[in-house]
Amino acid sequence: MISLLSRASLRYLSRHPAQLVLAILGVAVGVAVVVGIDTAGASARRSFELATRALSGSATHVVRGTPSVPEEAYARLALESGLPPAAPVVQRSLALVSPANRTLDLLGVDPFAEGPFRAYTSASEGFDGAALLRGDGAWLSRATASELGAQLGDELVFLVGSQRRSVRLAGLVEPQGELASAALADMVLVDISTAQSLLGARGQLTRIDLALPENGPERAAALARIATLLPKGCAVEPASRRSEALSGMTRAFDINLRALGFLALLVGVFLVYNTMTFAVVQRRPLWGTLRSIGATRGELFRLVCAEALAIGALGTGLGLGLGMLLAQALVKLVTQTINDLYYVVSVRELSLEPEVFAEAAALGIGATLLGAMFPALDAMRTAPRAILDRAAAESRLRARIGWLALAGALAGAASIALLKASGQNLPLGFAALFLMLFAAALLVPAATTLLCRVVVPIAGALAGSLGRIATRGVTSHLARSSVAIAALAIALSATAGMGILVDSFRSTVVRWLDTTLVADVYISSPSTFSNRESAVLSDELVARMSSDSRVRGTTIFCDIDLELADGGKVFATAAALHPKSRDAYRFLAGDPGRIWPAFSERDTLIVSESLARHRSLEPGSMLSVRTANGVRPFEVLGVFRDYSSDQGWAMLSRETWLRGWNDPRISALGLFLEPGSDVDAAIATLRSAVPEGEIVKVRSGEELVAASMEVFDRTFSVTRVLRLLAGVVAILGVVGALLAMELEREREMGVLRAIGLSPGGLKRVVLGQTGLLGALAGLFAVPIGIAVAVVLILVINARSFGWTLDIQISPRVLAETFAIAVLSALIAGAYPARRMARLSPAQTLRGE
Amino acid sequence: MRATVLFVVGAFLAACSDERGSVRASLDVGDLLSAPADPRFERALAPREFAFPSDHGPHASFQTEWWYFTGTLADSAGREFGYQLTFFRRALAPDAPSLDSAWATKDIYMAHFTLADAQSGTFEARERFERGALGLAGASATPWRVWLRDWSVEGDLDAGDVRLRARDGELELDLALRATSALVRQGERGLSRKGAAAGNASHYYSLPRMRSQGTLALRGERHTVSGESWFDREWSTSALEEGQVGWDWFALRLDDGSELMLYRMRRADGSVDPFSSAMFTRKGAEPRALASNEFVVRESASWTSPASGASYPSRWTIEVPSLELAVELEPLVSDCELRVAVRYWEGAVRVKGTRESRALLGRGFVELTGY
Repeated sequence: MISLLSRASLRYLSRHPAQLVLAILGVAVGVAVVVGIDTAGASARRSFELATRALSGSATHVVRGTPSVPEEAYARLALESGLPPAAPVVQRSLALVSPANRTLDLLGVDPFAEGPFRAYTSASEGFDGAALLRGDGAWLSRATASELGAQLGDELVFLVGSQRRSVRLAGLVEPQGELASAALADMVLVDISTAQSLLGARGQLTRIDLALPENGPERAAALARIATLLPKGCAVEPASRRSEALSGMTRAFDINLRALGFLALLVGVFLVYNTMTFAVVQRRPLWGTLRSIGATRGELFRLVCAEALAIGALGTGLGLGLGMLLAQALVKLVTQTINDLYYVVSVRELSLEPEVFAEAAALGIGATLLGAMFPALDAMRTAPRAILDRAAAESRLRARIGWLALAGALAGAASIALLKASGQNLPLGFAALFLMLFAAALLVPAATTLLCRVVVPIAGALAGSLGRIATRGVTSHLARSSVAIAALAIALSATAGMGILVDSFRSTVVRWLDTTLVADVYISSPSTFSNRESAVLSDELVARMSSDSRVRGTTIFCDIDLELADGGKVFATAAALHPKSRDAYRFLAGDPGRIWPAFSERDTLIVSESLARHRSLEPGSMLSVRTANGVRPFEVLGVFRDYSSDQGWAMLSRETWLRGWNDPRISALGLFLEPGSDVDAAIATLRSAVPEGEIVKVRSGEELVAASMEVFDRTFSVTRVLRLLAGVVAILGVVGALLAMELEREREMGVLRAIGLSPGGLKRVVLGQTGLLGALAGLFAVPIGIAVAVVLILVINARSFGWTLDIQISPRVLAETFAIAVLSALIAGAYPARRMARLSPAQTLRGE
Repeated sequence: MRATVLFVVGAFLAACSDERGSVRASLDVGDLLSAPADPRFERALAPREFAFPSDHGPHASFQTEWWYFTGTLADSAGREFGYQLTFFRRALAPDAPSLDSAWATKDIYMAHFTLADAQSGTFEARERFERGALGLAGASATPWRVWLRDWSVEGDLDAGDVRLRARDGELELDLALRATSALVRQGERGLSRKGAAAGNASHYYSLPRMRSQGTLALRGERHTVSGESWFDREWSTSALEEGQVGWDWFALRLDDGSELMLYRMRRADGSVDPFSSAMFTRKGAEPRALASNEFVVRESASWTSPASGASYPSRWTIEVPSLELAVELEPLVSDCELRVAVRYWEGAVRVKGTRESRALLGRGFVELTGY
């Protein structure tokens, strides 16, 4: 019996190769998206972990200062007897401008203190005592040097603040092992004297690495002794804290990526369900016959499951391969975003995590089995006679529509309840989102029936009986069509939701930039977020720019890091704001009338919305900040709208900064010109006034907005790609499903042909039918998509990034969604339409 | 003569000493040392009048110099120990790179610290490198002090008072030294020739006898000790000449109140370089320089290092016919091999012999390189 069953199954599948291929592709693409996203994300994370671990070497603790550690602190530790090993480090991300453009971590170390910390520095050929001789010697890993096209002796030109500074490639490092390779991928190694001199940081260390003994009284004693030797403003913290904080920054970004991947798989599951349903439904007569000749229910159930397993396994295998290809492409987008927004990381090779593969395989095969489960149960449960009756399935479904709709309504309510109950929990937010999509799918049959009641008469009025035939087909085959409609609607609504999110985000940011960037001209050093510390404008430049005769006022910025007493770090800007710049700040909490007077008087600051959310701050909250004069309480005066960083940032007045840190550097300048000045002409004059050798960007407000939006768009390129992929999965699946559905109706069409319908008419009926399916799906996708967008914006975005966005539903996205639905349905209908029109009625009816 | 430092030049350039020994750059010491020194460095060309205390301090215009303390100690029960605490300065270039950083320097300091225990046969050696910047390592004439982090020698050399301190984990030494002999100008009025070429020489003086008292800690045990130390002071811009492969150096304190410093340069062909020499000193008498043909050193046993596989002589007889001196030397501890950036053997020896037919005993230190 088994062999007969298997042969029947093989015969069916081999006679419907297109369906088989599409089902496998549906699973494959779903799996590929999950593997691709997870692998890209994991690779970026792994590279970052390796790099930070290798950079801190075997350091257990670090001494940090505000803002830097005075080098005398190291000398005191080094000269003290009986203390554990310590190593001074000067580190900063710098923009390399020649021989290639790239951000590199400049690591300045003392080779004599390095031994116990970073073995690879001593493995670096020539990086030794002789390095001190050179003054300008720099070392790169061989791989990095060849990527940059740098030869030994070549000049490496960096941008330090707005100045060009160079070192010479003195040697190549051959890192041994994964850790050292990762560490050196983005690193340029120099002697500590070279680093200080290059950065203009005489006397300053970024940190002191410490290798303390194992946890215990010895460690505690060492910590206590070290603490007494450190000057005010310096503190010891565990070495892992900084990297934890950094990797924590991208947590929300990671979860979002993974959820998007999961969404693609979800769409894939719908489509597999759809395909398997057809594969089962189409063979009802076969099941009936097999049951009649003695096949048991269990055998049939196992047969369908075996088919699903085979499809799932093939799809998963293919998906894993495709996923790797996809990961290659995605990893570039992911690292670009991380580099733009978070920290410098470059991924040398994909990190193939067994968990990712196991998870994807489980999802791919599991989802396929799950998709086949209901159809298999269906095939098993039905009595042999009833199976042969094709109408029975339809009538059963029709009887269930109400129940399905009720279940959908309940799932919807549960989703909303979960959204409300889950607080700030991001994964639960996603769970609610998926539940909502599931609810929508359950409501599709009822909605389809209702809509068709309206559509059928209209179609009849417009296209006569042919119109009615085409449209009735949808409801009369509801068991099949509703699954296809639901799958397409869900897939499209997900992509529509993402589209609306990006649009809303973009328009919010554009409006915000327009109101915030009020100065006429902005002058900044060409740094990025990751090397913002080195953004310094020379005093001469600032003097020349602000003394231009057209300049009526300035706003001064200085990018800083605030070290908190709890060991955390907050990005901040110390600003001397022009009154116009002040007025541009929109406060979500706090009264501007009270904020500004107190802003420069006391130890106060204002915080961005994201920071307020991350650290639960509101007006009146206190932050303990390490200043050069020790830890001081800072009062939060207000919360302002901001979209520039998802970590959030704080702003304090320049006076407060100078009082607490006495660091007068300026990293950016906004100029207000005399009313009626020609901004372009002023920019041209200002550009020519830039001191020799200094590199700065002099831009108008509009140019700055455009540059900001460029970064914004780059950030969302991952989302766009994923949206596209989810769309591809949807279209693939729907084409497969509709194809199967129409092919199944060949005989019905044969009857129509036999009673006189022309081949052209038949084509129109088939296309009309699939077109209607598509249109219905598109129609459903619109409200579901809006609901998805609302959840994404108000829940997911808020929980991940803490931004308030104005919801912007662009008709373009909705129209696009509808058009994709109809178009993919018509594509799906084209082949069966042509095929059926060509078949002779006798041939198709022979089976009756 | 402390020729160790010539090899140590290589160590300086391979200065990333990794305490775990995981990585160490290797350099061809021979190539390095035969390279001519930067002509901008001053060279020891002629005897000079030593000027103290400034000559106790650093000589920035020379490339290399060292302060070398070795000694033999014993606790109240007669348990014998040997120690070595030496500081080297090496300039990598005549001038420091012009950088805006206090870390920029031309000078690197290296120090070696060893303790040996005759009773248990224990020998422990430590090595450190540091740049001569930021007060991490350095030397000064007034007050006299040479240090590398918390290892230091300081005091008043003219008065003969010195304090030695070094600690590395469980290895500790804290000694007060008091000179009991006069300062000896080695070689020709303090100019010690190392080779045929002019400038391959050093300015060299010694304090052969310093009464020493203090404490040491080794393998978790602390001992109150006393004994005698030998101090060597040398500076140069010298290079190893072709054909020279290593040297044996002996510094002996005999119980008749005399001292013998002797070195022989060994050549690749096994012969002894004619630039080997010795200096015999005796309380109340003029020091007597001995040419290489005035003494004979014979090796009567050897010891093979299980760690490096190198075979060193480990028993000697030294004869100086013109002084009617014949002594036998035997190490306190056989394994005094320093396996640091450059491998060499340096340890305390017991001395037994006769001078002018009178039996004598003594203690000394031997350095063996190039094995």
